[in-house]
Amino acid sequence: MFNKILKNKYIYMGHPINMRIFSFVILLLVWQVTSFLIKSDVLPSPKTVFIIFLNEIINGEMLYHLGVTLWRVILAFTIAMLVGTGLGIAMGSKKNVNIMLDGWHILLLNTPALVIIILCYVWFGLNEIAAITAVALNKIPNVLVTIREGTRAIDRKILQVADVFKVNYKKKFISFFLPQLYPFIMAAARGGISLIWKIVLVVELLGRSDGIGFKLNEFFNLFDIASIFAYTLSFVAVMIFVEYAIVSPIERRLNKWRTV
Amino acid sequence: MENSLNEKPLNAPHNLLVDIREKKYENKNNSSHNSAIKGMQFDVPQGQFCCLVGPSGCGKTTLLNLLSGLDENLNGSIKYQDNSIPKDWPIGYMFQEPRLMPWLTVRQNVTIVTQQTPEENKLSESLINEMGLNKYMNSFPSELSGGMQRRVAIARAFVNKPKILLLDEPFISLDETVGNLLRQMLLKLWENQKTTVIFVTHDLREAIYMSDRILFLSKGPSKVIHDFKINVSRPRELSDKKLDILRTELISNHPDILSGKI
Repeated sequence: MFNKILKNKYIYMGHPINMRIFSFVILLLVWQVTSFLIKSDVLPSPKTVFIIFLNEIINGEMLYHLGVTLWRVILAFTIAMLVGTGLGIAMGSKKNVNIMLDGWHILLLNTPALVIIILCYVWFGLNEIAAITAVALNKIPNVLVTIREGTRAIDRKILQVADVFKVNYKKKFISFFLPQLYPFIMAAARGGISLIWKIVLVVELLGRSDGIGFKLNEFFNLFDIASIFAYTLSFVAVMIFVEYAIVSPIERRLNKWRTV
Repeated sequence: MENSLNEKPLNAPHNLLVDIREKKYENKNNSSHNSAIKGMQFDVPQGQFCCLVGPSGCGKTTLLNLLSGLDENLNGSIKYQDNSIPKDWPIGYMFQEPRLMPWLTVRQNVTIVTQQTPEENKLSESLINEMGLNKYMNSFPSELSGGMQRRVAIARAFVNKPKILLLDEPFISLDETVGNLLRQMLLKLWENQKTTVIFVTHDLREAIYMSDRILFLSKGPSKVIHDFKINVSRPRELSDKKLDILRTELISNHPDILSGKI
């Protein structure tokens, strides 16, 4: 049957966008059928979730919490990228810096997210700074690993071109060094956004009184699974938007020279 | 040989004076020091096209690093007659590989080493045009052949109006037709700009065709073992019998010169 649908000339399946939509429709179907068979609050139907989603949008509740969470994601992401990239470059290019910081890095890399979050709340109090710091600290080691590898893979011969032509230090960094690092920065950023928003939820659940994570905890206590679905999917939708509207276009632009 | 070194044209303003008593490099395996260059002396008059020919491992790259100012650690001096040192000079450099930045277009690859003033941008474009690449101004290096990439590298080497142009076997690994075309293009630009050229090669035929003078280097620790002038008028033809005769004479007079012995 699938073959027949796939071969139908009116639904041209070869196009990637059609294939994506098709796979999304299958997901919805599976969800609908399963929830129909189970007939339980544990797995609400797509329709129920969508109605709650609309209600929450209209009464403004969801948009507020979505905004708060998104703001935290942006802040933590920016800090993690800047610090991680800075440290990654330093550790990738200077052997002694690497030896000095590598132990700390491994310690942080292997400390569970939950431990970092608890310690930040204990040390800095249940406030915004502690929340953002906790998220950033969880992501920095990952960014660092990627950027350090990228720095080690830098083509010194290209940097030598800058040297013989007496290009000043700032320009050498921006025009000769950083472009070689872009693929690694993009890789770190892509992995970063998804990891960060997951940790932000945990941070909100443990110590904030707003944001998606806070709401999820509330719904969990009320056993309101449909709302949990609605809030989760709304944020997933935001992240998909970020991916397609921001990350992918930037990446395409940076990689233009590769595709020709 | 001593005589030829003393033939300095007097009062020429921008003669390059090279006097390296010793250049050592650290042997990473046993932390001993070997000397790469020892007792190397030569002067290059302004505007001369000078080839350096020597066996592999004769410290040519070390010498180029010193001349370009990348490496300043030596016992001796490299300077112009006005006492300026390599760090003060605009230097053109062409590497063995084109070394273009793959993420920049042809135009950007040339302008990137300048301050990008309107005049410099104009010069970049006219150099790219002279290299016959006007159609490829906005192409990326990956779209160009190896020969075309080297033409971009030639344009880049001239764009900062170098006082001295250093070339490290730039036409190696090209087929003969493309290589000869690039040699002619380089000579044309050099004749217009009259910059001093130090051209490293191990191809004697190439050296005789292109240069005013060839300095033969010994094996490491390297020094000048023979200073060979080529008084053939330009423009020269590759097929010119005089060039072949010069080469045959040189080889028969000094059969081991290419392996660094005189």
